[in-house]
Amino acid sequence: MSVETEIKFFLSAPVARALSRDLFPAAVARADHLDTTYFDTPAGHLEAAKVALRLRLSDNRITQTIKTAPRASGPFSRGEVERVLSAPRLVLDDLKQVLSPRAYSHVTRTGVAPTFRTVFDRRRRLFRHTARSGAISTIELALDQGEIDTSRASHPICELELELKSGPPEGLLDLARDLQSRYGLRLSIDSKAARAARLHHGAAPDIWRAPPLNFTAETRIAKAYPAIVQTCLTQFIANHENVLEVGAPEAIHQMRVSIRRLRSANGVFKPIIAAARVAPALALLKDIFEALGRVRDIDVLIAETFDKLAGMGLDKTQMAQLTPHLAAWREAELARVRALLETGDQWRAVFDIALWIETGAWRNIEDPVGRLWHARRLAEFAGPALDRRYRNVVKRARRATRDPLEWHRVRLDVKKLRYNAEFFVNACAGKTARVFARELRQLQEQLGSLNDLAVAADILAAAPPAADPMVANVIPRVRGFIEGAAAAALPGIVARLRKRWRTFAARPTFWTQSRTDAGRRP
Amino acid sequence: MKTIAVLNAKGGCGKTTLSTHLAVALSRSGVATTLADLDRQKSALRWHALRPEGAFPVKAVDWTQNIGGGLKKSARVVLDCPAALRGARLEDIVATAEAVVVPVLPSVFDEMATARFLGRLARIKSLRKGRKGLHVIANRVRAGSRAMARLTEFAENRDLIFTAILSERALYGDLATRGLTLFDLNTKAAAALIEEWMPLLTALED
Ligand SMILES: Nc1ncnc2c1ncn2[C@@H]1O[C@H](COP(=O)(O)OP(=O)(O)OP(=O)(O)O)[C@@H](O)[C@H]1O
Ligand SMILES: [Mg+2]
Repeated sequence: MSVETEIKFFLSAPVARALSRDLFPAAVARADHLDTTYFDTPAGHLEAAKVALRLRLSDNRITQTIKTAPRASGPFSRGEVERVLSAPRLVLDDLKQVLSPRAYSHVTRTGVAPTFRTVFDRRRRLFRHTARSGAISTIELALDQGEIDTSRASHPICELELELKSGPPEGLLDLARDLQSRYGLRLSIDSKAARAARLHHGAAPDIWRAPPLNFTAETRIAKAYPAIVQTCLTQFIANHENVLEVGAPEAIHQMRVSIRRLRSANGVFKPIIAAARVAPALALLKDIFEALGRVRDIDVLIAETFDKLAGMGLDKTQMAQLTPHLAAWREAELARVRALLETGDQWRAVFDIALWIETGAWRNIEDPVGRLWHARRLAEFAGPALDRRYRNVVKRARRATRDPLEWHRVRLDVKKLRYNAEFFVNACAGKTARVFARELRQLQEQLGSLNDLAVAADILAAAPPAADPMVANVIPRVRGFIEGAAAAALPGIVARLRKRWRTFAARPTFWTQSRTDAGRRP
Repeated sequence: MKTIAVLNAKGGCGKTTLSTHLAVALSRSGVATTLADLDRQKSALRWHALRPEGAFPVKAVDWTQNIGGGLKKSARVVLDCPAALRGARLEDIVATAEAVVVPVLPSVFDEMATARFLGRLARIKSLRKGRKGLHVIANRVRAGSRAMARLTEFAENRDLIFTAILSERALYGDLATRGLTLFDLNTKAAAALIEEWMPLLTALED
């Protein structure tokens, strides 16, 4: 399997015309007509595995291509297996390279059939781009216009693809950044196949959750940090379509998680990275993060806290009166998120961060001995990264009284510790790390229950005034109920928290443990 | 935990200078490091006692009587070994170390002694098989000097590659008497000299 590095933008018709005029003059561009058929098993095994299988006809040439979805390796690369055929007969054997043995045996047993077709005109040309560092890359630019046809619907294709042909990926990213800001392009990492499958099923755009970090005891920081950032970028980009078109609570949440993880990684690795170089990009993402946070808080209130409050005796009619008001407020907050995303500024931030990683500019090389960290094992950084925060949070919890504010601070510390610990759990192999992570998660959940009610009261305090006098009346009443319920529940929650806390604090910390483990290894 | 043994049968070739520098560099780089003195002269411990208040904290332990101990929470141990180390004791120390660092001076006498010493090390199994890093360091080098040319030839004849080449500088003597190392300084001059140490540190930490 080879790896294809490619960046794709969706275009509006006027932008497509401008690009066609500026970048694809007849003298340099080649025109092709491409007719492509996609295949899958009746049960959709390939789609489930995020693998596309297609036959493409152009110029009397038949090409079979298999593509995989982008992975943690980065938002812009995907696996590809390609072969030229002499007759339109599929070679399913190639699927072995991308499918699990089980999925492969399903596919060969049930066989595949055409699912949909794309027909488009492609204009393409090669482009030699010199990046700021002086590195030269050759990139193929392709302007595709046509349509996707499924048995149910047809949908226009209008996009620009940039594929790296030779040279470092830096050149591709740099060119993409230039074109994006010059033409205000909209980035997408959805393949045509994924989009067609979605249209075919009438499904909403995907929600992308980050796969677990597959670090081992041998993973070096120089590998781990870029991998973490790449996953965050993929997660950020991949949830865009859903946030823009549907705004599903889970898509909002996942997009928010991507930024939160990036920020927490930058906090953890602060001494060994040169984050100042991407400060504007990070600041922009933080604005998006905060806007998403508002929507998320309302979602949690409607979907989770209300249920809990109903159990505590909150009047159902009051909740029913309030919900449409909150839903309208959510729409308004979602519109703010979308307005931020429609500026396209986030794409520049994405390319800046991707370039920062790709060129190695992320490494802090100012401090000569600090540089040594890049070659060290990730597991070894767990101690320096977590120990101080861990000790502080233990101290704070030991001293906490029944004042909810004190526990609120404990909660924030525990949350940060948990997000930071996430990066190391797999690298510090062994049971101690897994148990520690589990206890920490449970502790955070319990602390969260303390917080949910407080957040709910705060949200209602911040809700826009209601035009309907009945709703306007209900808001302070529900708020009053929540505050009362929170006060009544507090002693019980704190008692349970103390208990759980004692179990957690008695656990060995996995970083000190792994250190002695490492020492004992023969 | 990783043990780095600084060794050479020849006296005065820079074992203590290397040990103290490695201990400070590694501590400052963020890993808990202990400097262990195995030499009855106790130069490393004396250097440690001279460390001024406010200097970056480095742990040192006395291993002149008994080897081992005092390593709680240490991720690295640097062993400053005496010149008179041979036989079973030498083998024991090499066996416990993950990396061996051998400073060499550009002088005819040192070369001969070092050649013999490297020959002895080569008979130790774990080193012979290349399972642990052996780093030979050219120390007190004056670029372009005749001695350096000889040392280069000496190395070439034995297929030896120096992991690092450290210049001769009066500053080293100064720092030693103040309980300091280059890695405690923030001056431009120190920064340039620190770069000479980076190949060794990088090799040890890789
Ligand atoms: N690169 C250098 N430039 C100048 N002086 C140096 C350098 N390296 C070491 N010295 C000086 O050489 C002398 C001997 O160095 P050091 O004590 O480190 O050697 P040693 O091998 O530990 O000696 P011993 O065998 O007595 O333990 C010291 O005065 C030290 O300051
Ligand atoms: Mg000495």
